[in-house]
Amino acid sequence: MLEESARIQQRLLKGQANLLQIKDVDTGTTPRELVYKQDKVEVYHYRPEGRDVVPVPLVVVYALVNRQYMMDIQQDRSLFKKMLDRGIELYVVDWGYPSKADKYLSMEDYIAGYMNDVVDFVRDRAGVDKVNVLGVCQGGTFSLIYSALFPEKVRNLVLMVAPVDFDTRDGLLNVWAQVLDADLMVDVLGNIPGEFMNLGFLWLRPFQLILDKYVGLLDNIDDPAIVQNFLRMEKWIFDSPDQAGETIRQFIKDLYQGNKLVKGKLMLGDRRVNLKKVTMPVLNIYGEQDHLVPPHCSSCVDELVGSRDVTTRAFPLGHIGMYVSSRAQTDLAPTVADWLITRSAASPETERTAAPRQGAAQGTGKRTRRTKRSTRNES
Amino acid sequence: MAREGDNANDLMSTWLDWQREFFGDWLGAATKGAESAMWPGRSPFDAFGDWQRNWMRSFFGPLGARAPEEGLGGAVFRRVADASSAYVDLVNVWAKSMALLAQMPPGTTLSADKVKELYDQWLKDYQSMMGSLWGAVPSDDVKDTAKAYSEAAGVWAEQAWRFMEPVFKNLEQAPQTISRMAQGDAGARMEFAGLLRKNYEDTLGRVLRAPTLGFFREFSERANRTADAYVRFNAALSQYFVPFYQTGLRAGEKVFQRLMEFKGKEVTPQTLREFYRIWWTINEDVHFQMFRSEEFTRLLGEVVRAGLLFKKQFDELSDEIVGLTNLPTKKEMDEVYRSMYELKKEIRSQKRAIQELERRLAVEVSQAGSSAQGRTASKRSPGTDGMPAGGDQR
Repeated sequence: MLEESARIQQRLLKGQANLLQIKDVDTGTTPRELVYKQDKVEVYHYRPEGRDVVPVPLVVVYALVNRQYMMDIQQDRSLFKKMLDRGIELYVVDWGYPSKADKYLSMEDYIAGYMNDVVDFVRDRAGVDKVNVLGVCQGGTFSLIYSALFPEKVRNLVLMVAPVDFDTRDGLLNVWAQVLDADLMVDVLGNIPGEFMNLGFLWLRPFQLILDKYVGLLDNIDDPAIVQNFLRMEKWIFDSPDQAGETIRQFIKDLYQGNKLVKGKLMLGDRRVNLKKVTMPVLNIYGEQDHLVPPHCSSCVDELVGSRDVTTRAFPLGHIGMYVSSRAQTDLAPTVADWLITRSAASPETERTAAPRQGAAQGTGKRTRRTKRSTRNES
Repeated sequence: MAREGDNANDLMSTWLDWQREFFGDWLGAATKGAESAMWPGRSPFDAFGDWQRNWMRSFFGPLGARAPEEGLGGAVFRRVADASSAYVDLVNVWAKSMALLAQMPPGTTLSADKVKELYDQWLKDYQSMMGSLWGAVPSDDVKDTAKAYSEAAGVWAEQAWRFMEPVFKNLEQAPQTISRMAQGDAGARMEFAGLLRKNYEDTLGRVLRAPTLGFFREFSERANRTADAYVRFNAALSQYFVPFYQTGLRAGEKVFQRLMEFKGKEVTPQTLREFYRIWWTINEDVHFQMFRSEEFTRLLGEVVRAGLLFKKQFDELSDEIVGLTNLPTKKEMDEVYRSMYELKKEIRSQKRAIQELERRLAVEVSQAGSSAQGRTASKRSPGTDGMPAGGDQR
């Protein structure tokens, strides 16, 4: 036992020497270009290198919680890179970090405002009537709602670990959310601090996430690659934007507590969200070991939407494993890519629109897309 | 269980000590406040800042501060060091456990009383280790908060001290509850925490919520309401931690049962690691069951609500102070944020309308251009394509 205590001390000393020098680590290293900006929302364009490009671009909508670079955390664990390798062009939404001035932003603003503007921008830039949408976690819920409101703009919808049916006691978040006074929280705090959300996430598995994970790191503290990988994950986990007050108010009250999306009672402004209007092909992916979004929350999509082409795939993974595990790289990413490629073949719908959608975008990038589209069609 | 009773008494005495310290500090500050209206070397903002920070720490304690200033590696090292500290504590428990197991030679059967005695002995060490992991009840953060509170609120609460005696007098009801706690009645702990709260509500709480007189009446009342909300928050926080204590005991029993598997085994780093794995997985499982229980969920809701109500009162009090300066209050800033939001929304809507008009215009210009082209073409070579040249030909 003395030996073990001494070992821990030695490893800690090494850890001190190794870790204290590292101020930051690289994440999201796949080349990209900022092409659009509105308020704090930015869109990054990822262009495939090959000539064989899928004719419909994919708009990736991540959750407001944490950051989208989880899907591009490092080069050998990057869903984005896997998609690009298959010729799928990406437009990735970065929601940014809401400040106090953004406390009044509502779900309607995010979905029917920002998200709709982004989709229009991409449609215009790519010269297509419809885009593919990939929604992740809370971003998946947003994408499903968006697809119900604007089905004419979505060619194919991919949902990844998206909570839809919130009526379950399988997940602690679902249980705890029932007793939260969302009105009081938002009225008092304005935006909900990222730390508050993080605390909730850590307490879902406190011994693993607050203790064992770090004790385990000590065993590998000499391995620079493992340390770097660990730090990337740590950076992501604690990189938690605050949640815009009005949005989280509605998310808790109407979804976690009221389960209104499933009941067909969810209102976004003056629009009712009817999932039967989701008629485009849907790929629904969830993790069988997901403790944040339990399978029950996601697995019901095929029964709720109006689409007759719904593919549901469960993977034996947890919530974060869905993005970074080796299985995600070898199995999940190809599943998504194959499904999208099959359903994105060139058709009159994907040809350039006759009339340019003037001024639909407020992008920062150059509009070189139409030329590129022509090249693509030729090839 | 007698030993559990001891632990319950420990818990209770810690709680009482804290209460005494808490009110004692408050009384001290109030006395000082009577001598001097200001804190020496500190502005009210300092005290309120402490209050706010400690409230945040009470909520975010296990996570710790974000600490970006030390860099990512530094922050992670701090977490590793904290986890290692808990691990080393467990190693110490393991060492003591091995000494206990040595009292059970292989092949011997111990009496139930002896096993119980060993268990009680073991549990004390185990609980001490768990206490360092979760923080004692109340945690250091709560104590810090109490200290900040005593500094911040004492000045306005002088009149409340007359009512301190009834608070403790009413606690004379506690011995029955304490006795039940000593007999292992888990519900008694909850009852005890509830009793403290009730006594507070009936005495000091009533004072703090009562109307006051004088030039600073509004401010004084607001400060008292804040103090009242703060005490309620801490009462809720104390009740919130009770299930952790109970769950720790439950997990301890399970860990002890599994510890028997190590009887007679050679002590190696591998066996230690195995014990560690058993320890944290059992705790994870038992705590998960606690987290999803209705009781914990209710307490969670209450503590969050109490914390928010305190924050609400605190913000209003802060606004009162800030209002004396030329700085904008939270309410005023909210008005600015609201206006900004509405303006942005309006601009976005106008932009969309303009874009739509531009799109329609482009289509019309395009159609008009086609028509004009057709008209010109028909003038140059009438009827060349055999198609109608356009509406203006009619």
